Amino acid sequence: MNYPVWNLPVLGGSLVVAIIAIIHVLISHLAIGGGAFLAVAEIWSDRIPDGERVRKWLHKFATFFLVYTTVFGAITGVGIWFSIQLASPEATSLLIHQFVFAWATEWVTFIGELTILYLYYYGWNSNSRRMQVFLAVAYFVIAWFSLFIINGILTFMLTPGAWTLENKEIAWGFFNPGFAPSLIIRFMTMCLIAGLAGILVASLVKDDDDFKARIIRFSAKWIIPAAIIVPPMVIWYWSTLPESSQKMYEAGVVGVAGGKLEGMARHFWLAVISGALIVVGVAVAAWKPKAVHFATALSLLLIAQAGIMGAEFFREMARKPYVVNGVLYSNALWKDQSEDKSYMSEPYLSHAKWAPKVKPMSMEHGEWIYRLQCATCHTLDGYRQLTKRTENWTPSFGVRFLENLNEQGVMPPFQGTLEDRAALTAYFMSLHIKENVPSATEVLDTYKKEEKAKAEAMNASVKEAQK
Amino acid sequence: MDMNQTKIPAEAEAALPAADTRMGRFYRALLKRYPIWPVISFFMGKKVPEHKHSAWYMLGGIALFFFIIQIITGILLMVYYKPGQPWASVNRIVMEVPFGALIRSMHHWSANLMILTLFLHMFSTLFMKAYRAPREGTWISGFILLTLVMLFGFSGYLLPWDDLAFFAVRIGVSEMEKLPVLGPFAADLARGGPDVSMETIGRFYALHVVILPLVVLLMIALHLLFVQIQGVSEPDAFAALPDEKKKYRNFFSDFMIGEIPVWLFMFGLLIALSATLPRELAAEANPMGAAPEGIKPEWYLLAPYQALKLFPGKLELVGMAIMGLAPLVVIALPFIDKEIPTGKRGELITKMAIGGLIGFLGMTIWGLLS
Amino acid sequence: MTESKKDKKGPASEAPKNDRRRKFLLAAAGGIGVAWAGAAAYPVYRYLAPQPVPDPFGEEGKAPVDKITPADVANPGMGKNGGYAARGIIVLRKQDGELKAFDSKCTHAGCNVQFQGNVIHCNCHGGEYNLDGVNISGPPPKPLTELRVFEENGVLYVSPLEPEQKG
Repeated sequence: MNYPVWNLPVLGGSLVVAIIAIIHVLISHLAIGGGAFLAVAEIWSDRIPDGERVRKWLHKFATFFLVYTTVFGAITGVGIWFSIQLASPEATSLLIHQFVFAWATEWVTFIGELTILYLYYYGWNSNSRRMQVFLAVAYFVIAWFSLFIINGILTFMLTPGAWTLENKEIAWGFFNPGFAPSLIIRFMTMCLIAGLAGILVASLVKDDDDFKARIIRFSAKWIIPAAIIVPPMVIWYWSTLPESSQKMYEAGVVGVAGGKLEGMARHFWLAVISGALIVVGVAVAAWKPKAVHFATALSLLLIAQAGIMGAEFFREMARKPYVVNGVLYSNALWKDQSEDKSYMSEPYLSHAKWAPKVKPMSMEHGEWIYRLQCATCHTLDGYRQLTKRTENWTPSFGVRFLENLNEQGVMPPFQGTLEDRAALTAYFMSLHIKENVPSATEVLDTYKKEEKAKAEAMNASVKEAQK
Repeated sequence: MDMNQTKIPAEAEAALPAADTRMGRFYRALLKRYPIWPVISFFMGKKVPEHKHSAWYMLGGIALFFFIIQIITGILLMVYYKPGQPWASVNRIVMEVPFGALIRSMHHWSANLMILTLFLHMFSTLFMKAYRAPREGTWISGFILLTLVMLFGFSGYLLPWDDLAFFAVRIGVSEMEKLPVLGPFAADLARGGPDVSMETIGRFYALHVVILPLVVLLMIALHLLFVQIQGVSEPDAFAALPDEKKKYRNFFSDFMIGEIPVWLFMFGLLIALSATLPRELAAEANPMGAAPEGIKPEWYLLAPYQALKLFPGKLELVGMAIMGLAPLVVIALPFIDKEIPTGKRGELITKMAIGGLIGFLGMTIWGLLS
Repeated sequence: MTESKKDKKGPASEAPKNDRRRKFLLAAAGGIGVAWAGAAAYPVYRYLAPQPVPDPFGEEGKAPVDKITPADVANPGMGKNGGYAARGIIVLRKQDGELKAFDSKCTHAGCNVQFQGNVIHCNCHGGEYNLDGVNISGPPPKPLTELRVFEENGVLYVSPLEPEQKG
C-alpha cells in the first residue's frame, strides 16, 4: 500500500471509473469507425451522380462527429486517467511503466488524429477533392493505429499471456492471447457504431424524395460485418479467458449470494441481447427508412451504449479478483506478496504508508483496514455495499470468513494478523448493531473461545471413536 | 367461381401490392375468402399528427410493450413459483434456476418502468389536453388502467413472501381497513383473515395472475379501440393550422414501425437495469419479527404514503378523504375543462396540473429522502 | 410513390438479376437476424431446461426401498409393490428362494406395473411379465429393468445391476 486512499461513498471509485469509461468507449469507438465511414462515404460520393448532395449531408455528419468525438471524447478520456490513478494508483503505475513507448505512440496518434480531423473539417470548402479523400483516409489509418495500441494494453490486463513481472517481455504482454480476437471485435463494433451514427444524422433529413432512404440504407450496411463476424470472434475471445473467469460466468448464471455476487453472466447477456436488438432494429430501419425519425435512430445508438456497458462490465468482471490478471490484485496487493507468508501475516497497517496512527483494536483500526483493503471495490451502503453483505456476521463467522476470503476466487486474500481480522469484523458489526457493539477485543475473545470449544469437542469425539 | 367468395372492393384493389407479386396474391386470396377489408381499412385509417411534441405519442405504446414483457416474464416465473411454498420457490428461482435472478429482476424492473411510463403518458395527455370531449372515455379508461396496474404491483409485491412483502402488504391493507363502513369488511376479504398470512397469498395470486390480467387486457382493448375510433388528439396549436400545413403519419405503416427500435431500446434498458441492479430477495417473512429498518413502499406509492404522514392521529381519516378526492378530480377533469381551444379555465387547470405534478414529485422525493 | 416503383423495374434485362440479388440479401439479413434473436433467447431456454437430476442411488450407490420390509418378502411366492428414490419398484421372492427387484415402470408406455402373485401385470394395456421380469404377453417390447436388492440391518436396499450380472 504505497498510495493514499480515495474514499468515495455510495458510488465507490471503481463504479466512477466504469461510468466514465463506458461513455468514453462508445465515443472512442465512433471516433475510429466514423473515420472509416467518412473515408468510404467520400469515395462513394465521387462515384455517384449526386455526390455533391451526399457530401452536403456528410458535412452534417462530420459536424456531429467532430463535436461528439473531440469534445466529449477528450473530456471522458482525461476523466478515465484522472479516475483510474485515484482508484488504482498501483495498477496505473504498472501500466505506465510497462508500456512507456506504447503510451508515447498513442499520444502522438491522438495529436495526429486531431490535426488531420481539423484540417479535413475546416478545409471542407477550400481543399481539393483529392485532398479531402486523402485526409479522411489518413485520419482513419491513424485512428485505427491508436485502437491497435490501446487494445494491446487493455487485453494485457485480462490475459497477460507469457509476460511476467520477472521477464517483463513487453512484446509477449502486448501481443497476448486476447489481442487478436479483441482487436477484431472492437473494429467490427466501431463500424457498427459509425453506421448507427450515420442513421442518426440521416434521420434528420427532411427531403421528400428517397434521399433519406438511400443514406439510411448506406449506413445500415455498416452493421453487417459485426453481425456476421463478431459471434465467432466472441467464441475465440472466450477461449482465451482464464479458466477461473469461465467458472465465474457459470456461477453468475445461477444467483450466487442472492444473485448479487456475480453480475458477469448477466452483463455478458446484456451485450449479446443488445447485439440482437441492434441487428433487428437496423433491419427494421433499412426495411422502412421513411419511418425512421430521430427517436428511432437515437434508440439504436442508446442500445449500442447499453451493449457496450454489458461488454465492458463483463470484461472487467472477468478479471476478478485481479486488476492485472495473475499479477496484481484489485486492492493493490501483488500476487508475489500474497504468496509470501511472512508478509501476509504481519500487522496490516504497518504496510500502509498513508494510514494514520490508530489505536490497535479500536474501531478506527477496523475502519482503516476497510478503507485500504476493501474500498477499492466496495462501499459501505452504495455499490457492492458491505453493510448488508455482513448483516448476519457473528464474531467468529467474520474472523473465519476473512481468513478464507479468497476461497471463492472472487476476492483477494486477506492481509494481516488475527487481530486485524477481529478489528475489521468488529467494524462491520458496528455498521448494523446499534447497542452493545462488540469491541475488536471482544470479537477476538469470542472467536478464541469458540475455537477452543470446537477443538475440545473434536478431541472428545476422537477419544470416543478410539474407545 | 364459388358463390361464397366475395368481391374485392376497388378501394382495396388500389391499396394492395400488385397482383403478380407473392404478397399481392396472398392478400387477394385472403380477401376473397374473408370479407375483412372494412376491418383493415378501419385500422389503416389511423393517423398521427406531426409536430414538435409528437414524441409523446409513443408513451402508450411503450407502456404496452412493458405490459407484454410482464406477461412473458410472469409466465416464466409461474413455471417455478409455488403459492404453497412462496418464499422457498422464489428463493429457488433466484438461487438455483439458471438466469432465474435475471428473469425475476426483469419482471420487477419492467413493472416499475411500466408504471413510470404510464405516469408520463398520463401527464403528457393532461398537458396536451387530450382528455377533452370527445375523448372522455379514453381518459377515464386510461386512469382506470393506471389504478389497475398499481393494484397489479401491490398484489405482486406480496407473492415472494419475504419480509418486505409481508410488512408492505400488512401496512397497505390496514390503511384500507381504516376506511369507514366498508373498510374492515374489504380488508378481511383481501387478507382472508384478521392478518396477512399464507391465506392471503392464494387470494393475491389469483388476483395477480388471472383476474387482473383479464381485466387489464379488456380495458386495454377498450382504451385502444377508443383511440382507434377517434384518432389521436391534436394540440390546439396544430388543430389551428390550415389543412395544407397539417402533416400526418400513417400509424401502422409508419409511426409504429419507427417506434419498434424505441421498444427495442426499452428492452435493452430493462436488461441493463436487471443486470446491474438485480432485485434482491429478503429473508422469509416472519410475522413475529420486527419490521425491517427503513421499510418504505415502492416509489409510486410514496407520494400518498408521505402525504398521509402530514395527518397524524385522528386527522388521518381527513387525509385519506382528501386523497380519495384526487382520483375523483382526475376522472371529472374532462367535464370541468371543456373549452376548445383552451380558455382561461383551461389555463387554470394546466397550472393546477403543474402544481399537482410538483406536489407529487416533491412528496415522492421527500419520501425517498426521509 | 407509384412512379418510383416503375423506376425500380427499369430495363427488362436487369430486373430479374437485381430482384434475385435483392431476395438473396433479404434472406441473408433475415437469417442473421434470426440467428442473433436465437442467441438472445438462450437464457430463456436455459431457464426452462430441466435441472440435472441427482443420481437416484446417491453417493453410496444404493437407495433404501420404501414401503417393503424384509418380512413382506420372507417366503417364496411373496412380493410387493413399493418405491425407491421417488420411483416405483417391485420386490419379490421366487419359488426357488431368490430375491428379485424390478423398476416397476412398464417398458411399453411407462405405467407402473403390479405384482399379482405369479405374474407381473400392467393395468394400462394388459402387458404381462413373468417373475424374472421378462415380457411374456401384451404390448411390452422388452423386459423390466432389474435391480440388485439386498438387506442391511433389517432394511431393503437396491442398487443398479452390474452389467455382468444381467441376463
